[in-house]
Amino acid sequence: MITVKNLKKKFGNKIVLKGINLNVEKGERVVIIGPSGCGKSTLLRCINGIEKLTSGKVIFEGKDINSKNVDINKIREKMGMVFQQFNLFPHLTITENIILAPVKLKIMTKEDAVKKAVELLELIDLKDKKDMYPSQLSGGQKQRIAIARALIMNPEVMLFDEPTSALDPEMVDEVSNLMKDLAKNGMTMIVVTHEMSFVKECASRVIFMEDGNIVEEGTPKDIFENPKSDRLKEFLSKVK
Amino acid sequence: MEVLFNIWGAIVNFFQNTWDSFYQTIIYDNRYIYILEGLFNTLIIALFAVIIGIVIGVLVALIRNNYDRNNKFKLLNKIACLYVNIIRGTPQILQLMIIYYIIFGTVDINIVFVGILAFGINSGAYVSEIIRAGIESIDNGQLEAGYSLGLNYSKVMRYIILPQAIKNILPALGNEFITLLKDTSVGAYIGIVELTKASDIIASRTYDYFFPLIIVAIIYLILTIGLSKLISMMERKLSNDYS
Ligand SMILES: Nc1ncnc2c1ncn2[C@@H]1O[C@H](COP(=O)(O)OP(=O)(O)OP(=O)(O)O)[C@@H](O)[C@H]1O
Ligand SMILES: [Mg+2]
Repeated sequence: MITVKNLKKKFGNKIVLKGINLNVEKGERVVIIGPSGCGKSTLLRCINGIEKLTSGKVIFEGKDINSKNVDINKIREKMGMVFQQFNLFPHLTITENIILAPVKLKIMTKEDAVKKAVELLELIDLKDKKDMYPSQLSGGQKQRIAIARALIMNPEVMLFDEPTSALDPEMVDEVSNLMKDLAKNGMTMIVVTHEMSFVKECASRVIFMEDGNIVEEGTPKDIFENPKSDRLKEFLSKVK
Repeated sequence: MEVLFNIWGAIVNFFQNTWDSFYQTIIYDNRYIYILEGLFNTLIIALFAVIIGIVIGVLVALIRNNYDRNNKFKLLNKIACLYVNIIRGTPQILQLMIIYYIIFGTVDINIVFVGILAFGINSGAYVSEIIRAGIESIDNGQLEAGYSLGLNYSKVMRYIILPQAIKNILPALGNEFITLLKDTSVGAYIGIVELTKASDIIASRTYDYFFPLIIVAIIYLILTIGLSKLISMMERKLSNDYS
């Protein structure tokens, strides 16, 4: 579904991604781990085209997303993204946040979108918040709304960039559980996270990055119980 | 007794003179009409200039932001930058004179219209900077969240960035309007009968500057203080929304 080919990314003179190759099939849940600054966020942002590549390719469902003939906005409709800082729209109510894209992109009528939004809000247990503003919600609630906002587009794949890192510890589970539900329902996911319960329960593959490279990849079992490279061993000893 | 009498006389005299001066300035020969005309022109010029300024300012700001973000509109962006630099880098009075004496030098044209145009063009440069700053004050995450949902640049601007930026933009625009209102006095230099020129005309008839200048100063003050009250009311209302 997603193929990353020899992806390189520079910021000025700084090489942040040094030739990433990655293939994600439909239904996979790929988790990316690695030390701060190794390029995890940059990789995700290149995959949905928010960040322009220096060289290499990102192919989504057979289309080179950076090709001139491809409408990147159409691609992004099919790739949901969830950010560490939620990035809800503070001037819109919860319902308005969720329905903005499908309505303005004329994918749904407003009535249908509102109906769908209510369904999603029921699913994430936040129906009573539908007319509130983001500033009236807790971090965990905001992040669940952000996930719902991405889900209403019926994405083929969801990208998560440290979705629980900005949350107070007691709110991690509500977001993590929602992600587990998505995983169980077969959603294709690429997740940057250090939330181990999600990784252990849901990841079909774990990728360890360091310094702009993929150093090691394998099943959660391979990676956590049988790490091969010294750098991964060192990283795991720090995380634990 | 005589002393008291003298003081009384002086007081009466003072009020008599003041009244005479006021009478000469305002009432005699219907001179107040100059002030009314001046006030009218000042308000008309400021109002229409700020409208022109907003139209130009929004266009220039969007062109420049689009260039900064998406590398689009290269040529237009160059022109927009040049425009902003020229306007901000030359005295307003000179811009007014160039437009009046050079650009419209050979055509017969309503001078108030020239004023509106010149002040509007001038204001556009400052308004564009206000709007640009307003747009840039919005966290980049908002733009990225909009993009990630499949919205394009213009939809993200329209539905996500500008509605939030307006909170910062409107009060600054109000202040720009106040500045503009005062700056229209520069128009006196090319003979636009706005408030300041009106007071000058009256004073040149009476050879008495006191009332013409003071009255006009009070009018400016009433306008600007009233406007800034309005702006801070608006600011309070805006900041109460969704926070
Ligand atoms: N817009 C940018 N301009 C310049 N440098 C950047 C930019 N974005 C990221 N970088 C640099 O690229 C490197 C990788 O950043 P990235 O955010 O991808 O790391 P990360 O693995 O997500 O780290 P973290 O775990 O802290 O989120 C860092 O050194 C960062 O300073
Ligand atoms: Mg990151």
